[in-house]
Amino acid sequence: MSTDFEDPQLDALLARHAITWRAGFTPPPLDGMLAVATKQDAPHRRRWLLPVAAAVLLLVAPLLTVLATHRHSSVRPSEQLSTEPSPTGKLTVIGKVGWSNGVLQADGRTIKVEYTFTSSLLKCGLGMPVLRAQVSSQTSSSVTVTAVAYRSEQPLPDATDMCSPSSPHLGTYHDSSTVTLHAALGSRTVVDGWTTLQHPVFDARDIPVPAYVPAGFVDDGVSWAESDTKHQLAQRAFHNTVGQFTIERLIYDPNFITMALSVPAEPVRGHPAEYSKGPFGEVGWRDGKYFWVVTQITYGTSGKIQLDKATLYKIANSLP
Amino acid sequence: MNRADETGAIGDDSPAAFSNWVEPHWPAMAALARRLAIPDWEDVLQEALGSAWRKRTQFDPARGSARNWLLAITADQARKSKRRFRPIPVADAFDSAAPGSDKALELDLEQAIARLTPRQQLAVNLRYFLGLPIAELATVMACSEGTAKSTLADARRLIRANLGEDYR
Repeated sequence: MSTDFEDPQLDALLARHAITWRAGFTPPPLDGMLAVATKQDAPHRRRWLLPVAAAVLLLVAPLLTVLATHRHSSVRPSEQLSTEPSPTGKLTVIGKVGWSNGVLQADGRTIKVEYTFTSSLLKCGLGMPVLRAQVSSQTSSSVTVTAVAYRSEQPLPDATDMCSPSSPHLGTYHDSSTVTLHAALGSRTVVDGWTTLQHPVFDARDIPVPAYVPAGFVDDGVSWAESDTKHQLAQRAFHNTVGQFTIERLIYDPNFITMALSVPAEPVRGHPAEYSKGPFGEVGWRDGKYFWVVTQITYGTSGKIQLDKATLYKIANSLP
Repeated sequence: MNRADETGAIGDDSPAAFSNWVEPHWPAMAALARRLAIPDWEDVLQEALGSAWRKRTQFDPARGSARNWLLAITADQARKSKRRFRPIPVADAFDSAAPGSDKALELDLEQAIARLTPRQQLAVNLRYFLGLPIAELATVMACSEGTAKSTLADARRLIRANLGEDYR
C-alpha cells in the first residue's frame, strides 16, 4: 500500500495486519438486512432495533451507574501515596496518564478531565481502574493538571457481562476526575502535566441547562471530544432510572450528509427543525453555526419511549 | 431529486435497483462498521443501510462516489452508536497471544488503534483496512485533504508511540 507519509515500517505493519484482518472477516448477507431496511416506514428506524437496543442498554445501565459514580468523584489524590483510602478501597498507582476532554464547570474554576482505559488495563480479575487528577501548578497564564491512573479493589462490573467466559470482549472504560482551582480559570491555558501538551477546555455553560427538565432526571453534566475539531461535538446528559436524554451541540456542516434527521417538523426556537421517532427519538435544529439535537434513550424492554415528541420539544424550546 | 442515470447511479426506485447499487460497496460498509462499532456493528450496519435507503434520493454522483457516500453514512451511524453506548469493547481475547507472536503484535496494534480518538480511528480504518486514497478518505470524513493527512499523521505517531520500540 502506498502512503503519503514517512514511516514505511509502520505502513507495512498496518497493511499486513489489515490484510490478515480482512481475510478473516465475512460481511453479513446484504439481502436480509436490505429486506429490513426497505420495509420500514421512511421516517422511522427499523422496528426490530428497539428490543435489541433495549437489551443492550439493559446490559449497559449498571455500568453507566458505576461510571456516574466515578464521574462525580471529587476526591483529591496525592501522587505520593501508593495507596489511598477511597470508596472503592485501596488504590494502587498504575502511573501518570495523559488526560483529555477537559470541561470547565459552571463555577468557572472546576475542571473535569477524562481518560480512556483500554483492555491492557481492564483485565478480568484485576480491579477497576480509577483516574485521579490534581493541579500541579498554577500561574497567571496557565494551569497544569496531572492525572494518575490507579487500580482499585473494586472488581470490574460483572453486570456488564464483560468478563463472562462467553464474551470475547473487554471494553474501553472512561473515567473522569475533577480539580478545583484557587480562582476562576479565566483566559489561562490548561496544560497536561504528564504529556506537557496544552489542551482546549470546553466551557460547560455553552451547553446550558434547559429551563424544563422532566421530573426525576438528574443532570450528569457536559462532556465533549476535543479531537473532533471539525464538528466539536459536545453534549449535556440527564438520566433517570429508566433512561436518559442528551442535549448535543455540534458545528453545522452541510457536507456532513447524515447530520440532518431527514424528517422536517415544527420549528424549535424559531428555527427549522427535524424530528426522528424511532426507538430513540430526537429533535434537531440549526441555530447559526451550530446544529443542536435533543435525544432520548429508554432502558429496558418495555418498548415504550418515555419522552415523547412533545416533551422533547418542550425541553428544546426551554433552552435559555 | 438526484436520480442518477450513469455509472454509480442508483437506477430506479426499487429495492432491487438499490441492492444492485449497494452490493459492490457492501463489504466495505460492513468492514467499516465492524471496525468502528464493535460489538453492535451489525446494528450500526443495519441502521446505515436503512439510512441510505431513506436518503437515496439525496445521493448526488456529482458530489462524490456511491462508496464514499455509503461509507460516510456508516461512519456517522457508528459515531452515533458510540455516543449512545459509550463503553465500546475493543480487543478479542487479548490474553491468548504469546509475547512476540504475530497474534500478540496484532493485538498490540489493535490496542494502539483503540487508544486513538474516534476521528483518528476512522482515518486509520479507512486508509489501511479499506484502502482508501487520501482524497476519498477526506470526502468520507467531510474534511480537507490536508486535515485528513494531518489526522492520519497524528494517528500514526500515536500508534508508533503506543507500540513502543518492540515492533521495530
